[in-house]
This record gives sequence, C-alpha cells and structure tokens, in this order.
Amino acid sequence: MNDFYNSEYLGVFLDEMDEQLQCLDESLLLLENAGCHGDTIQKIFRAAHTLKGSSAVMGFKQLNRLTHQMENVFELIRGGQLEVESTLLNILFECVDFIKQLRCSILTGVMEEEDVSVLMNRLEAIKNSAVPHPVEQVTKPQAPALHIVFNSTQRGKIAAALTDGYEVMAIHVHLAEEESMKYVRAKLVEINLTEHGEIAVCYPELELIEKDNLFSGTVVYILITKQVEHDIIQSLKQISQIDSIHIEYITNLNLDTFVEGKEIPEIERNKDNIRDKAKAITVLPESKMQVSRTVRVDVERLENLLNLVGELIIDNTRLHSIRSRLSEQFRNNSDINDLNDIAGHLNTVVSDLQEGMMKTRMIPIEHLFGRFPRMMRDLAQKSNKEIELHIEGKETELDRTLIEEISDPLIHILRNSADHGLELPEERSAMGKPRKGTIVLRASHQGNMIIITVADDGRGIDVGKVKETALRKGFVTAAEIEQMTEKELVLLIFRSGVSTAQTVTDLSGRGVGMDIVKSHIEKLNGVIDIATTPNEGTVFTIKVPLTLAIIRSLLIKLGTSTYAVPLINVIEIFRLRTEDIFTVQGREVCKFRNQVLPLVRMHRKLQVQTEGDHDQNPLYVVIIGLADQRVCLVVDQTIGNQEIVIKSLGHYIGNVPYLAGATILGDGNVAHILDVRYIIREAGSHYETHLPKANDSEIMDSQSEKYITFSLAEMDFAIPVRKIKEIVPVQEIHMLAAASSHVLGMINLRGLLFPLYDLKSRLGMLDNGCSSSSRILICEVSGHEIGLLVDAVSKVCLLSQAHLEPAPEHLLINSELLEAIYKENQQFIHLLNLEKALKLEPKRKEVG
Amino acid sequence: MPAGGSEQYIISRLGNERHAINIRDIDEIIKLQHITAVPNSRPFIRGVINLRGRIVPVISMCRRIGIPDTPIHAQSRIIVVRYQQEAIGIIVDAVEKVTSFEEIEPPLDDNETMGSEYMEGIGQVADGMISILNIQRLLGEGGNNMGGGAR
Repeated sequence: MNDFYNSEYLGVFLDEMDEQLQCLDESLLLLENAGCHGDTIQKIFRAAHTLKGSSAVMGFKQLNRLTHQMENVFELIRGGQLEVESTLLNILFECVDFIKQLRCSILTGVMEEEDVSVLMNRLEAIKNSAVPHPVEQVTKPQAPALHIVFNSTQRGKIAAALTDGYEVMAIHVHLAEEESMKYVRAKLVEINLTEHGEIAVCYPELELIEKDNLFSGTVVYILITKQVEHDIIQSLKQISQIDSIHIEYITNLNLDTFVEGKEIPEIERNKDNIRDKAKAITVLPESKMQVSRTVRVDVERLENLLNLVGELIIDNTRLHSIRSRLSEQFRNNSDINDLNDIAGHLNTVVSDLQEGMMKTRMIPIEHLFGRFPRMMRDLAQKSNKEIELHIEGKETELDRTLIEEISDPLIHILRNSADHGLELPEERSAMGKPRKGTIVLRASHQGNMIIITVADDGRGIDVGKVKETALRKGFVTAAEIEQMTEKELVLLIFRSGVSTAQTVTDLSGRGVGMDIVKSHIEKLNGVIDIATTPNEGTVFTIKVPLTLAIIRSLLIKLGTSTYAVPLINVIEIFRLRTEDIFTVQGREVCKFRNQVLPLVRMHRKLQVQTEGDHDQNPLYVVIIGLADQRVCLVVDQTIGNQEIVIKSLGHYIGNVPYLAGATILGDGNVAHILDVRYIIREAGSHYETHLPKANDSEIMDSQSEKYITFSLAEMDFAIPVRKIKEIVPVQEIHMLAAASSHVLGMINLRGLLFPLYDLKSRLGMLDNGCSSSSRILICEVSGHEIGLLVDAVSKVCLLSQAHLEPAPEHLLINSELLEAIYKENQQFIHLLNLEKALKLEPKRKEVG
Repeated sequence: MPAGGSEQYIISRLGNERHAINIRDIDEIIKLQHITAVPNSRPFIRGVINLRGRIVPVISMCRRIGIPDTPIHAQSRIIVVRYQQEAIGIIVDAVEKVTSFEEIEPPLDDNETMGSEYMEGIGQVADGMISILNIQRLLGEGGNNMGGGAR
C-alpha cells in the first residue's frame, strides 16, 4: 500500500489526527451551542483541511475521501449555503467518530480502512440539499464570488489535481487603480505564481486586459499547488502596485458551480468583497503561525532529556562540593575565583534548565477535560436529558503521565453522574429543579496534590437501595449493614460485586465500573471520596499526588548511610532532650510546642547502627508531615538541602518498606529516599492541635486514647480504636492447612479473605468455644488486616495515660505480649501489643 | 541439557569454588564500588550501586547459595547480568578467564550440595569440572512477591 506505514511519520500523523479531531469536536460543539460564527467555521474548516491533506500524504484513501467531503460541507456552511441544524451536526459528529475509530484501529496496527460510503452518501445528501438555496443572500460577505467558467479540459485537470491531493486556489489579485501597465503587472504575478505551482487558467485572459475597458483591475488566477497560501501571499507581496490579494480554495464542490457557469458579478460589488476578504485573510496566516509554534516531541525523547538533566544536576552538585573544597585550599588564587564564577553561573543555568524541563512534563488538564464536553453531549442525547457541563480550573497543570491515568476513572464518574445521577428533565421540573441538570468538573492544586471534583445536582445516591442490593447479592450481611455508617454504605458502590449488579434496574448499575475507578485511583496512590445528599446531588472527590521526577530534599545521616527526605514534607528540624520523650500506649512520643507527636526512631526501622555515641543528647529530630499528620523522626545528623533525581529501585528489589526510591548523591553513591507516606501511615497519629496551656497532667489527658475493650476468658483486654477496622459477628471459618497454631483459619468478608487469629491460644488460655456474644475484630496490625476472635466486645472508652502501668515483666512468661495494664477504680484491663502478640512482620508496601 | 561446543563462558571464583556464566548473559564486569545497603529487602540483596547514573541492585551469590559472605579484596568483581530486562550485579571473588567446554554434563541430582538448584550443568575442563550457573534461576524465585500485589 504505502511506504509511510510503520514509518515514524505515522506517529506524527496519528498525533496530528488526534489534535485535529479534538479541535473538530470542540468547534462542532461550539457551532451547536453558539451558532454559526466565522471564526468557528474557519477553525473547523482548517482542521478538516489539515486532516484531508495529511491523510492523502499517508495514503489513507478512504479517510481522504471522507475528510474531503466533510470539507465540502464545511465550505457550504462557511458560504452560508447550509443551515447549521442538528441532523447536519449529528452526521458531522458521526464522521468525527468514524475517524476516531479509524485512528484507534491504525494505532492497533490495523491498516485497512473501513468503507466510508455510507457516511459519504449522507454527506452527499446534505450537500445536495444545500445547492437549491444559492448565493442570492448577498448580505453574506463570505459568499463565493468566483466568476470563471472552466471548460471541460480545465475542469478535468483541476479535478485530477484535487484527487491527487493538490490545493487548487483561486487567487484574486487586485492591481492598483492608477497602474498604467496592468498587463505587465499581471504577467509578473503570473510568473511569480508559476514558481509555486501550475496556473490552470486565469481570468480575464491576460492578453485581453489592455483592450478591455471594463477591466476592473482584478485578475483571478487558478493555481494548482502544494504550497500554503501564506507563502504565496508573501511572495506576491514583493510585486509592487498590487492593492490586495485574496485566496479562495476550489474544491470538488464549488468546482461544479464554476462549470454551471455563473455570471460575472458586477465590478463594484466585487471590489467590496475583495476588501472584506482582504481583511479576513490577514487573520488567517497569523493563526496558522500559532499552530506551528508548538513542536511535537516523542515523550521518550523528553524523558531521556529529563534524565540527562538529572545527571547534570548530580554533576553540578559534585562540582560545587569540589569547588568549595578548592576555594578553601587556594584562597586568593585568581583561577579559583574564575572557577567560582563559572560554577555559580552554571548553577543558575542548570536550575533554569531543570525548571524548564519540568514544565515540559506538565501539561494543563485541559487536554483531558477537552474530551468531556463532547462525551456529555452524546450522553445527554442518548439518555434524553439536558445536561450542562461546567469545567473549572482547566489550566491546572499536572504530570503528563498522570493525565492518561486519571482519564478512565474520570470518564466513569462523569458517565455515572450523567446516566444515573441526573434525572430526566420532566422529573426535574416536577421537583422544582431547573430542567437542565448541571455537572461541575473542577480541578485544582492543593499542596502536592491535584484535586478533581465531579459534582452533579441530581438525585444523589439512594443509600437504601445500595443497602438492599448489597444485601440481596449477599455481599454484606444484615448485621454488617447495621454496623455500617452512612458513608460506608455509600462506599459500597465501589465494590465490584455491587457495581456489576446490572440486573437491578433501579440501581441501574449506579457504580458500573466504580471498582475500576477505585483501583485506578489507588494505583496512583490517590484518594477518592463521595459526598451525597438525596435530591441535591453527589460530589466525587479525587485526590492524586503530583509526583515529579526531581525534588528538593533534606539529606540526613543515619549511621553511616545518607537518606533523603522530600523537603516538601519537612516541617521543622529541632533538637530534642531525651527528658522530653514520653512513652504513651507503648509508643514513644515527644512534646514540641505544645503538641504531642509520635516519635519514630528510624535506626530501628531501617536496621542501622547509630554511629558513635549511643546516648546522644539532645537528639536531632526532623518533623515530617503529610496532610494534617505530623511525625518526628530521630536522625543522627542533618546534612543539608539538595536537589535530587528520584530513581526507582527497580522491579528486582521491588517495594521496600520505608523507602520511596533512591537517588545518586554528589559523591556518586546511592542514597535512599524515605517514604514519608509509609512512615506517617504506620505511625498513624493525627496532628494534635494546640494543647491548652501545657501543664503535665493536661498533657497526660490529651494522651488518652480511645480503646475498644473486650473480654477473653473473663478477663478484660483493650486495643486502640484506630487499629480496628470493623467488628463482625462470628461467621464460617475456613480451615487453613499448615497454619500456625494461633491461626484458626480464614474468614471471607464480602469477598475479602482475612486470617483469623486465636488470641486465647496465643495467651495460653483455655479455649471455651464460641458463644453468641463472640465477635471478630477486624484490625490492622503492622499493615496487615487480620481478624481476632474475642469472647465479647464490651465498649469503647477513653483510657488515660495516667492510669496505665507497665506490665510487670517479672511475673509474665512472655512480657512482650502485654504492653501495659490499665487500672482505674474497679477496672483492670490488659493492653495488648498486637504486633508482638501476632508476630507479624511489617507488611511490604503495596506494589505499584 | 546443553551440549558442549562453541558457547563461551566466563569463569568466576567464589571461595574455593569456580562457576561458569554464559557470556551471553553478561552485560559487563566492573570493579567493586561502594554498595548502599537496602534495608528490609530480601536477604541475599547486598544493596545497590550507581552504574553510570543507573541504580543497579547487587546480589551476594554467597548468601544465595547459603555460604557465609567471602571478604572483599582487590580481585573482587561485580558481574552485571541482564535479568528480565534489568541489569543486576553479582559479586564474585574473582573473574578468571573466558573458556568453552568440550562437554557439559547434567548437574548433580542431589539436594545436599549447596546451591545445586542454580546449576545448569557441569562443564569439563582440563584441570577439573566447573558448575555452570543458570542466571535465571539464580536471580529468580527470590521470594519477593514481584507484581503479586500483597495487600
């Protein structure tokens, strides 16, 4: 077929196609909503024209035919010969869709084009309907004022040229009134034009100019060319004594009108027209310029460049450390002063370069949002609803890789909002709402997160129905439902089971694909939330991190190794006296500016030895934060700030707890980047806002925590509420072969499997079996979600640190199991250390 | 089982034992450089190195076949091999020579020998026999749930 297949041009062509299709979509929508505007038509026309041209070059014949026909129709619209109405628009939209499909199939390697004749015929019908009302509406300035009659030879030539993908232009050149040697000028123009292509015919014939008293000063050349009109205009401008130039395209469509023979319009009117058009032309070349200001670059190349910039940054850092060492050594050496200057300048250049490169990765979310108005239009038509889509914050920039990733979830959510969220217009007006439903799509930055919300003013999610379906489908038990909060019930729609409930018409899949949404967002480490109010609407909120490849970071020393902490997460660095460290509920906390913050000793987590002095006092502490959470990290030393390039540890090593990646330092060594998210999630404490004027007992009070108490063999135990996910009645326990003696088996909770631990056997108690009061606590221990079988759940209460006593180690066989004992009035409660009791290794980070 | 012939092998030494690695598996051989340990990773992963701007994991073959780490000295080398499109370094005590084998015999079928599961065969040379390593098996089945999505 064609050499261009498999060539690099194909990629460029497909990219361009995508861009032009988007442009077509947008402009057609505009045409539909805002009516026929000159600018819009121009835009559409240009898009179709570009598509036509490039498809011809690439040898896609059907596509070329189709776009050509589309162009013809646009030409008619532009000429005012066709009314813009819904049938026409629908056909045009269908054509766009067809081309989109074609693009997709080319992308997947299918080169055969589908037959376009059906669409062609429909376009043809439209076109024919236009011919009856011709140019009589003189008021339309854009009406074609061509006044040449082609003979059959000329016509054949032009038609052939058009089929071969050439442009055929009717170039109107108006010579200056006072010009005496019109023939010479006209001849000059002719010679000039032959440089650009072939002149098929010109009118009036040049030889007649001298004799023709009626000669208006306007000569029309029909040029067959591959040049763009801008170039031609530029070259013609070099000829003096030309008043104005106007270029019109001849297509297969208006070609016919020439043959049919039109009278030469009166000269006066013609002149006005030319003036008008001359103005119009001045706009055109400019907008073409704008298009060419962007350069299409392969993403891979960009990534390579970014990697190189990363290397440059590393070397720059190394250069700086050498520079400072050298300037110490040779203080007054003039060469060193030069070195300092150069290094300083290099530093600025490198940081500018880096910033510039980062910007190339960032693209406005408009690229994604731009697809949605069209989708909404189709959805509205299909479901007979009236929908208004508001888009806000489309200029919000985010990493280009993210754009692709959030596209699918957003489409699902928007579909749901339109399909199921919004009511039919009749329903809406009956309820006193405006007939037209509104969906607001909003994007914004918040710190290092991108927040996207989709809000509709529809009926909201019917919690009752979700409940009903979930129950009927057996995903939850009635008892579980009882214990679920409203929010949890709403979140049930993310369950794949519930969402695939297609048979349920009332729910009508409110949540089709919602599981996909959730998994996509989770993959991006993002968060999704739903807020719904019956009859007022639903708001979906998606938060995704704005991950970047190069970040500023704080370098710290732990033992002999260097670690990097993203600077964005570093809140403060301070020195902590060991006297200010308290142990609350078995965890170390410290007091800082009236806040009580969890203290994490990174050495233990990362199994590194503290260098030198074991009892360093005061300690170096770095407060890290994420969202509203703060955690203190004990480190050996802080080194300083540095730009680092985030590199992955690779698939082979996989995900490692506490590490988010690695980077290469100035000395060429590898340093790990701490995973702030993981550390904070594990430490799991909320930022406690200002305490009342600190005195010790009050601090103690603020250190009390909510616990769930339960009984095991008539003894009371407690675990912190924050570790509990859920409390469920005892259900069928699936035995597990070769399980450790403390594991009873697995339970299946709404499709998820949890291991069930027997605390009694772990604590050396007698098994007294299950009773009706027995419950399973689903809790999170070291990142694992597990079930604990208990005899009864008593209550949730606040246990104050003041009444906690350390477990009497000498009395216990295994003191690790008990963290402390709570003793107040008649109560005697064992505080369990679940991590130790269940001997769970810290969980590896989620893959991906 | 592979027959002998024209395939070339690099002979490396680890303690008293010699191993052969097919030259096609090898990207390059570099001198030992600073290795940054990766805490909480799989035990036989020694750490990561900076190989011209790339982060490359380095494994200890000693730990892999269950013998104590041999001391690092001037002859120690890192053999960089390709495993599932990633470069991975293997520390050896020395790299001796390139050779090919007249004849290759199947590996000893006993579970007593340390690391026998990573051997592909035994190559005969003039001065004895050398176990041929199967890089895929040596680096694979690491116990890391790669792509497993542990929740």
